[in-house]
Amino acid sequence: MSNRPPFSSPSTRERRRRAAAPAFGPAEFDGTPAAARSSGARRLALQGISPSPDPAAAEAKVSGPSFRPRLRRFIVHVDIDAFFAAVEVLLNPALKGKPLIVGGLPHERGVASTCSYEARRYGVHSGMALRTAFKLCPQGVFVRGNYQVYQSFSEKFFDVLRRYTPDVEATSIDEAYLDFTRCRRLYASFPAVARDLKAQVERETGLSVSVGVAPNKILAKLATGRAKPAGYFEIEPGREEEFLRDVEIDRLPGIGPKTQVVMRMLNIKKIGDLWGMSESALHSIFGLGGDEIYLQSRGLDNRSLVTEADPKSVSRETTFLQDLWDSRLLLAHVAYLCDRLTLALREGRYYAHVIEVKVRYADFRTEVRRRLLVVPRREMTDVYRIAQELFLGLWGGSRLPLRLVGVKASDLTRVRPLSLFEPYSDRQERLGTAVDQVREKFGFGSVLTIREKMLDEVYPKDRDRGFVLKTASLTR
Amino acid sequence: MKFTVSKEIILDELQILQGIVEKRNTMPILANILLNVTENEVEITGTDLEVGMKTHFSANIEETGTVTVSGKKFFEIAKSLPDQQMVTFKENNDLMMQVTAGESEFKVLCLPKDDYPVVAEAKFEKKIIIPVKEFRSMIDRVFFAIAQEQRYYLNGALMVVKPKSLELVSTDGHRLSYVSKKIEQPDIPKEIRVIVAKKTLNEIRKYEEGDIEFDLDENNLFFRCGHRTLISRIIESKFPNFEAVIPKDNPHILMLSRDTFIAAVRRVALLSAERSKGVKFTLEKNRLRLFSSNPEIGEARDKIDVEYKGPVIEIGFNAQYFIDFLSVVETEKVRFELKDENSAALLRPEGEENLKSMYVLMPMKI
Repeated sequence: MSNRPPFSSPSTRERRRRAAAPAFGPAEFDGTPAAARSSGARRLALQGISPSPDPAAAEAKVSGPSFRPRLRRFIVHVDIDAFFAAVEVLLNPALKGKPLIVGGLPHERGVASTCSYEARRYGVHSGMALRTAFKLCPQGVFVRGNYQVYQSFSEKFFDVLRRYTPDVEATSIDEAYLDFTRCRRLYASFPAVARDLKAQVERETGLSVSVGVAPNKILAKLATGRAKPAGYFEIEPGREEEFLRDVEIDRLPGIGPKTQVVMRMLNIKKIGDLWGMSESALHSIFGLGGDEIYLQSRGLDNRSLVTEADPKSVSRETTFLQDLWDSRLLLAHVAYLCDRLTLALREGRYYAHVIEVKVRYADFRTEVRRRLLVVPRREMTDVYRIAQELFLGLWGGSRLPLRLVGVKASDLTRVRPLSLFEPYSDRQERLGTAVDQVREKFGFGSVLTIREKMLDEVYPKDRDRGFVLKTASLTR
Repeated sequence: MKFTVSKEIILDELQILQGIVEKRNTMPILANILLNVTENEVEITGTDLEVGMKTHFSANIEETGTVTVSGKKFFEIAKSLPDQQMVTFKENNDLMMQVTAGESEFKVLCLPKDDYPVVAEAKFEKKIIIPVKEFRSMIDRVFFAIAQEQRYYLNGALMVVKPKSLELVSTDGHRLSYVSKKIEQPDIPKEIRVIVAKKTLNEIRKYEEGDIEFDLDENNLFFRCGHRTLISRIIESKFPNFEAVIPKDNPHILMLSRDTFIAAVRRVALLSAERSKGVKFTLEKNRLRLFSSNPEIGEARDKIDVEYKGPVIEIGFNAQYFIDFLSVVETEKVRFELKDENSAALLRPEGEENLKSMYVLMPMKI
């Protein structure tokens, strides 16, 4: 059995072809069983789901028992309910039941990153400017939030998920897809496992989560939408169409305000309303997005999960408490980020062929400089030396203070070609391993370079995590 | 200016200039070619400021003059004309080139000749002569190992001309390819060491038959073959000390049949990691085992008979490195000299007569 889902990133056309082919892999929901059940939907299946030019094949597919539960994927979507707000309530139970807005104080610039369900009743939603939120909900409790704390809750959340299956896609700090298909021999009943997972997450983190269960990502996400808050919803085999029919159109990802306006003009409110529209009609109205809408509205989606098995890049960045100008202090940040970055590289057993440094000036202008390495690197000394040069090249001589720095390693490889013109040495590697071992025992902050130690004056230090930066490793 | 020439003659030259003119459009004038019509001949020049080419041919000349025109458009026009067609080019100092061929007529905008960068005049005094065919096979043996990256000095091959030999060396930092050939150039006072740009080497490969004449001045290298002359800026940097990294006495020696070995490497490489192409070699008495694995696809194993009497060695290599080199050498047997899993290995075709090749490969940690 393959270690990875069979399709990595097929093009839209390819996806459509696969989704419609009768002999697709061990993964797809194709919508036909529902179509076979109701004659009204049969017409739909013929014209929509099966673009096959061969009517005989399409006919055979609709009437035949082509849908085999054994080949069905089992995708679970898990989303923490009002994550940041829920954590705040957990830390301060007095906030329970109050409209809570996390992101900043009412007079500050910025947006609400999360709001509790109580606040949502006032029309406040995440992404809304704090000022606007305050106008809508003046009695709301506004808090700045503590990302470090959220991060640790998030880690616990993902720890629990990974115990159930290695195929976990972290889409954000509080949201994940799990694929149980490969674990089918481990569990007697998938729905039971999904319910158990929900209970386990809630027990261990103290946060309520919503869980959607379906044969693919789009349906699982829509199922979670139905489950919210704190619920569980499974789209049972054969009931996909029934489920989709009444889902509000704006629940589909990719349908933004502009598309919604057009949909309203077309009098399309529910997903079921889209079924009457042909693929070409949707394409002519919405372009490429229309193709996507066509597939999604029929619950067709065979995207595989993007798991952490092979990241494209690893990056660490931070904004400062206040804009910085002191080059020594800036380099201290660069050094610390390189340290965290190389730790992640060693953990993943990766070497990086590309090292990139990013700076954001006080005026929000962002610049990036990268270097291609002939010999891929992963040790602190090497990576910092390169990052320092890149950083000074970028920022050196600038008159503007900085608000953010970041380092990124990409073009990752697991093997290390040796260099002809450098004598072979494993000193750096051994040093890295030794430092890791000490840190394992005494905490990340126990071994730091002198340059990093300068941050002592600026940030509090956590035994295990090192310095508590403003936005530490929010990027996964 | 006004001259008439047959389609075939000018098309050949325009075609060869396509490889020279700048395509990235950093300076629009570099997409142009310079047409200089004198009383005796037509000279065409193309350059990207690093590598230039001058070529000339005779034509039925009625009026002299100089202008520059788009290299690509002119090539396309010439190509589109019927075979054997006579083509007339005419420009009346109005920066509008009129191209007439039979019933077809084109008017193409020109740029004044003063905008065109100066391409150095070639001079040939040293009389260094290399047969094109041999030089081309020397280039083939080093071309693949030229790095495509930022370390500038590596972006070409080192050419060493000594009184009795000619050498080419290339490296990308992980492997090094060396080839030398005996020549008799008694007139050379001391050895000449220059880095020749990859593009220049590629253009030289396009030369057909005959001899190449080579010379240089402070800034440029000149390669002339027949009526075409390449003018290549010298890459101003130091080539790494390659003599030092060619292993002198690797103790463990393996004798391989080239065909068998390359076929096995090709097979096993099919399942190696996409980027690194890592293949693990295990050397045992008279046997070589190859193994590769890719967590996303699967794994491959193979074994071949070899002549080997040394200890068991496990060592990783980039399979592509072998394929690159062994596809351009011709001997039946190849000698493979190793030390240990962290040191450079040396490949040498056994029994080469005309050219002498050496190929140094660094292993990789798999």
